[in-house]
Amino acid sequence: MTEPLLSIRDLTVRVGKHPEAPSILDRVSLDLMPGETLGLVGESGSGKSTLGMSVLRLNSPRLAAGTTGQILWQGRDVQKMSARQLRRIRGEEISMILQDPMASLNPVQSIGVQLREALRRSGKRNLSAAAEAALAEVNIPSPADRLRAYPHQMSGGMRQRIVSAIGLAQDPNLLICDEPTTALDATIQYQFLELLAALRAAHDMAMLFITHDFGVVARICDRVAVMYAGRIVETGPVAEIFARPAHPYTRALLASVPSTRHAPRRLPVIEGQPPAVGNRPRGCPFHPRCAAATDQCQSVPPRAEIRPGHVLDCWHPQEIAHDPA
Amino acid sequence: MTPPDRALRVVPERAETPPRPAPSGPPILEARRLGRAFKVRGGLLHALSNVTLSCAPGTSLGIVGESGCGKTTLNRLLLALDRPTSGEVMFRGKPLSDMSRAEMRVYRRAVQPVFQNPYSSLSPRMKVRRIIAEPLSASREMSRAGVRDRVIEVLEQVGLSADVADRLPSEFSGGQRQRIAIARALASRPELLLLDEPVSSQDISIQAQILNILKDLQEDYGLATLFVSHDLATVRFMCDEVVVIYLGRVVERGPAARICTTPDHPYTAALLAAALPADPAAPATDTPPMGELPSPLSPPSGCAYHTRCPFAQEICKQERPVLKETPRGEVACHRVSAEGWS
Repeated sequence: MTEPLLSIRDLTVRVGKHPEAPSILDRVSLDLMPGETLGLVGESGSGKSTLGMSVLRLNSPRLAAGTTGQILWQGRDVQKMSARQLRRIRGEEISMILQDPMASLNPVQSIGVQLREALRRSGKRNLSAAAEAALAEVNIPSPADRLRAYPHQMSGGMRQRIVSAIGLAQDPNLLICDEPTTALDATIQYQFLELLAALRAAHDMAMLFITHDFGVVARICDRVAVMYAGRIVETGPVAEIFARPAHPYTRALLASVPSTRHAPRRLPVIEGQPPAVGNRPRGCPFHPRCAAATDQCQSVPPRAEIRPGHVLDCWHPQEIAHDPA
Repeated sequence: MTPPDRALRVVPERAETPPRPAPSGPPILEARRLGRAFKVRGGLLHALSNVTLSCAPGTSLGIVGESGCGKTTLNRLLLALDRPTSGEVMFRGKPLSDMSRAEMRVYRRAVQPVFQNPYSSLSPRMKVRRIIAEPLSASREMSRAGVRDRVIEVLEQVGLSADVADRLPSEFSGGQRQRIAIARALASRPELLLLDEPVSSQDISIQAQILNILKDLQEDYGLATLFVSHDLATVRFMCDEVVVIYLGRVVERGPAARICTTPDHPYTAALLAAALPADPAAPATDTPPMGELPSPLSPPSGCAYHTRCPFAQEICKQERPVLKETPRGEVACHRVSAEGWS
């Protein structure tokens, strides 16, 4: 069996060193295989972005001090790496695309300067030609002219494609995408996801795709991990999770998304709101909002693999087929 | 149909399609050949051209389009926050431009907005009570006790308890703030709510809560709504009729269910394909969205969509298609006739 590219074991991230400090992530474990795309889906505050940042050790010093557990990148513990080792991994082996491309791009440098900087680190020789090729790969028209342009002269969709070109300059094995399409219009999002799928195939890389949008997960991911209040509550192959969601949270969330295919009289809703960090319930974090909850749910739920690869933490899993229409 | 499910707190299922009161009486608000051009360096920017629509009592109209299509300009014109450069906005059959100050006051009570971002639409220094009471106090028609009762009443309509009234917006989450914004809009007993992307900044579980509240208001109080959104799925849930706008012009109009299943205009089809279903087994689309929005400063000749349209022909580059009526609604496309696709 192949070794996982990324293996996270019992990752807990607290706000500070104190063992009682509120936790953002609570004993999160996951594996990512080479070439695989894993969707991390959850609402705001579920910890999905903190998880993405932890992989590259980009969390604030306060969160870094409160981090326990293991993050193994190709068998090496990211937590124990020296600054020098980290610098090699960032960009070269693991790259990242964030929601707002303007936050990633330098507004006073031309696209060419920024792209060549990334390409230089990869040891490419003919930087100008490589930069042109990199822009062409992300479908930027007339790439030679565009190298002289500045970020503000481009549309949001183009900027996000340029960020991808920079992110892929060193041919990483893993691309972490944190809500890369959330700020884009629907038709532009569609095209960007198509492009990412093509790049993933061309560069033979794995992706960790952070999003709140089940439609995006269905489109681009092989597997999905559903996060709630700092925990992964359910994980499995995309087809399996969408057809047979078993965690009450996943089921309720999927049911509450409006669809263009039918208009129910009412949307089934989850009452209340996700708990704030530092105010999370004991046991199963979802139990105060869960209609299936019993007293048992006040203690930590058991983990069960109900079908191959389909794992969930729940006292009362609901195994009824779900109609995704 | 979703099977019965213990985990979901589902409101008892009634009919799938809500029995909605037929449009009754003259429209509350109408746009007649509405246009708005902005003077910019290098000429005129036509943000909106020739848009006609009407909001009748008890109906729900969806306005769909992407950023830059003119949705927000339309909303501002309908709210009299801006003036059209051509055409008219009519309230109960009378142009806004001809109305007296007293008539404008009636209009402002009857047509109430809810904006996208409840972090910027609620004053951080006012207690919720004052935020909601302000439109009432401004009209000077209600007694103090009447205002106090009304505040509690509208808070309950949006699912908040009375003790919320004495707190500040900063104490609430985004979803609760949006409920407060809706309560403020309801305070003056409006006939029409103008909703500009009211859920797009919310988390999914909160979106469903807000959408249900808005649907209750439509059905239980017969409130008319104009729902501006980029999301066809939300519009399908909320609206009877949909108007699709591209680069400031109406390209298609029709019943929401029809628009979301068998769109006529290629742009509507692209929007529908881009509304990704939460279903990995969904069949691939044969009309994938292509290209980017052209600059509204120099819109393409002929049909503005021809640069992105997989079906464009020579005529599409030369002649702008007019919005024509079909048995299915209205569409502005050279490829579609009353009989269907050609």
